[in-house]
Amino acid sequence: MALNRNAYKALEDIVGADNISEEPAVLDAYALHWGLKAFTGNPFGRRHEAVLLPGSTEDVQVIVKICNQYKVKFKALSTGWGSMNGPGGEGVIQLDLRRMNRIVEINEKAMYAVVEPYVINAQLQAELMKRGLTCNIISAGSNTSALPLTALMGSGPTSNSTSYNNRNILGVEWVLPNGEILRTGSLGSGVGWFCGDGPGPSLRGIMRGYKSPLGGLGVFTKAATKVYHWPGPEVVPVEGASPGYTPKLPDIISAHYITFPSWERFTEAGYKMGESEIALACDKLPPWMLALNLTENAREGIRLFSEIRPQTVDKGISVLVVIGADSQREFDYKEKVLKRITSETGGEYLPLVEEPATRKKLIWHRVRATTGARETFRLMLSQGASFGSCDSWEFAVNEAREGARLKQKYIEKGLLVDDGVDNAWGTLYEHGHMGHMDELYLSDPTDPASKQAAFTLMEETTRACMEKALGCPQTVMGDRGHDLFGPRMNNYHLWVRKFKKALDPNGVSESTNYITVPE
Amino acid sequence: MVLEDCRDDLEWCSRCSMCKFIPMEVISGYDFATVCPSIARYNFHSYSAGGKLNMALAMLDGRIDYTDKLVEMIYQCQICGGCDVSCKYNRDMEPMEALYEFRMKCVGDGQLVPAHMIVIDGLRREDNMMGGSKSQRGDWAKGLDVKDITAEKAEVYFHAGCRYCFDNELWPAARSAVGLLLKAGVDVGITGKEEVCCGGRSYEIGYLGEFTKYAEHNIEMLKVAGVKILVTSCADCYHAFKVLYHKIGKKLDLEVLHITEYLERLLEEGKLKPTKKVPMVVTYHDPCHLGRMGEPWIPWEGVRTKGSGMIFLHEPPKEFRRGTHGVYEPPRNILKSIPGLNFIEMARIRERAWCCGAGGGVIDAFPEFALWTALERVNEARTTEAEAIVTACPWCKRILSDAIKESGDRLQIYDVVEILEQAL
Repeated sequence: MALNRNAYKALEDIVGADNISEEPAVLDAYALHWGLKAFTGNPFGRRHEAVLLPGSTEDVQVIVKICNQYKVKFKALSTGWGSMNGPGGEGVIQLDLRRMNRIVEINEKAMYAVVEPYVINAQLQAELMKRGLTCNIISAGSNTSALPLTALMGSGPTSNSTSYNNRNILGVEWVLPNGEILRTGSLGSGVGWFCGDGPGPSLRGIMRGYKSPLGGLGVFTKAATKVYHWPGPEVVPVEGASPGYTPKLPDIISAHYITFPSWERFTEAGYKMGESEIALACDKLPPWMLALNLTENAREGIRLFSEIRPQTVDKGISVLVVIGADSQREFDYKEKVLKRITSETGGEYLPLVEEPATRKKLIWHRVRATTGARETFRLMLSQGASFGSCDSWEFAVNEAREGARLKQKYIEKGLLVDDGVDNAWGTLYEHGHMGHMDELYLSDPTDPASKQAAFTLMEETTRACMEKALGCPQTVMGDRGHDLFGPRMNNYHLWVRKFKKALDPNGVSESTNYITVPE
Repeated sequence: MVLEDCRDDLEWCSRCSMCKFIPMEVISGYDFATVCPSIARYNFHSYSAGGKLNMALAMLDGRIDYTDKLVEMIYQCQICGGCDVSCKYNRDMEPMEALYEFRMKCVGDGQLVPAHMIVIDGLRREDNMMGGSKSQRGDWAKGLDVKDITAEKAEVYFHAGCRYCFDNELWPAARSAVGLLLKAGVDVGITGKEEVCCGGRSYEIGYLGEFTKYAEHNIEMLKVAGVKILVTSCADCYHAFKVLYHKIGKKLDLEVLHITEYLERLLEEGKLKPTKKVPMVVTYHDPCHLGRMGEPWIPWEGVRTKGSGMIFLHEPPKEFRRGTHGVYEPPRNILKSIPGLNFIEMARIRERAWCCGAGGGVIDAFPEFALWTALERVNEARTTEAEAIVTACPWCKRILSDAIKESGDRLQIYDVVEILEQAL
């Protein structure tokens, strides 16, 4: 279905001929998403009708109005990592927000930063560090958008001290699906970006809620994100050449990889670490990922995993704790507290991470979030994720436990990769009692039995969420998922549809991966 | 190898966008975070390495056919290798191989860029990429008291390269290079008008046949001449002789050195002693072909296969070229040896250096894009407050020179050898 010529001309007039394309090759570059291969066997999804590169909020607003006028569906993406960025139906134009890449403001005093969608986290964090600040970077990596509205969930390695995206959103500039610009939080009252909830309209729950609307609710063109104290240097000097960089971090930033003898002890330690507020990161980086993180190729990663397995997987549940301090005294105190907690909960430090060079490398990999693609894609296998609620720490741990329990049989049968069974990534939030866990699993998409095992496991974990009240999985997207979970969760799906209908009366903000409203 | 052989990598690009940026670990601010001129200039994902891999897969799967725009997108890329380094920070993939193969497929399928057809036609007729007459190839060396290795034996062969031979403004740098070798007592010779192109640029724009022809010619010439060391001042030629010849199974049976590597050696041996002060603040631009792409070729033949535990691994184990072992230190060590010289680094250096813009046939087919890329680099150099950019490749020097002129900047540009010469 080609785009109406009048609509095309109108769109071209907005962005200019260089910033719109219907070229099939261009469209296919946007249609390919790795995640689709696992599900359909074909990495290509639906083609868009055109791709546009708006350069400003004003461009976006006019584009959205044209879409309403011509009844053309649109979908926006920022850095575009994930199959949910692609269109779910036909007749959709893609807005690639790549040209909207400015840091609008960094307010050191009120501790927030305002960004456009194509500022990546590494850029923002680097600028913040120059001011003694840092930001939450999602676990996928710092190569993703710093806009706190883009990621699916929004938790990252340092979320213990930098919270997560849902909570970090402050003022937002939002082009609604009907083309109106809505400014939320304090921005809505014209008093700046500093607060997400007022004075002015909050709408945080509607706008993002538990998960991002995945491009199905208009376009977020600017947003303020809360930023946090960074105890390290203004610029982390990095020596050497890729991939074996050597970061130079001060000794008062340290890390320990601690393995606890049981889930119970692990849970207890998490609570204690939250209460003591000692950790810059309380990052449940599983041993499988740790091994891939610290090595320069897949083969080395597998070798290192075998090497650390007896000290980690075979002994219990592990977590990476990063300590950061502004003074030696503070550092010594935090180290002492961590030692006490570790001792009280039967934990053991992994010698590998006690080596200074390895430790510094690991800290920088996690604080900057550089190795997401290494930990997940280097082996060129399909990766699935399940669970992932944001709830109490114990709740999150229970998700990981259940994930590991359900997964084990497939690993024993050789249908899923033996990643140590517990390959849940997670984090504590805000030095508190909240947390996140998602259980990851790896399958071979070229092997029908393995592929089937991955599907079955996903169904089992989804069922477990319902039967054992383990929350709404992060992978729930689209009508089917919401219609399944909505009735079990206060009929939230009915409300989400009402909001969608109210904000998008013409149904032009393509939302197959979010939720749709029947005609 | 053909594009189909890259299918695994085409299918397993995860669209992480790392190929658009320098490695995340070394991003030190908002500015100068990008590495790929193509996506930086044209913005659509299809211009990035990831996007090109997606398009290549679409082509193999019969989803798309050639259009002028597709060919243009494939060639609006300096094939500078920045994407390759950033991708391989995390992944065991070979995006650059797919980019090369996509170009070779274009040429094989008769999808040619008009400007490249002219260049290749000139190469076939005159043995150079510059459209010059082969009878004038040796003019740059007129008056130099240097051996002609087609007539007499020498231990070291100095290959000037097409750009130096036919770009009069750059002749002083080539002459300085030979002059320094002679001054250090090196038994060096040239081939004058008998020199022919290394073939490297033809490989990069997809003409494998031409490349092979020139590789074979040069190998035979060097065999007859009996030289022990090949030295060149051109990063592109260095890459061709050292990396590409080996890659196509025609490794040279002699030592290949860039002039900076050889001069560093001569400095270490005390055969050259920089004593005069050169009171200047300079920054250094790493040529892509000398830096990240200049690391030795690592031959590997095998398959990616499923082993125990369902893990796919390369068998036999494959060592990836990740840009780690490029020629980064020799030019820097030369600069650091010069009295009075203040050397400041730019933000993007070594394996994550921003390309000058000239490579991959872009200077021939898309000169505006080449200039745009060079202007970006000039702007970056300007932030260091250096008075001059120093580089080690005539292609870089040419386009950066043009960009400086275009911007009206007062920056100077030198080759490393020209600075060293001032200090002797």
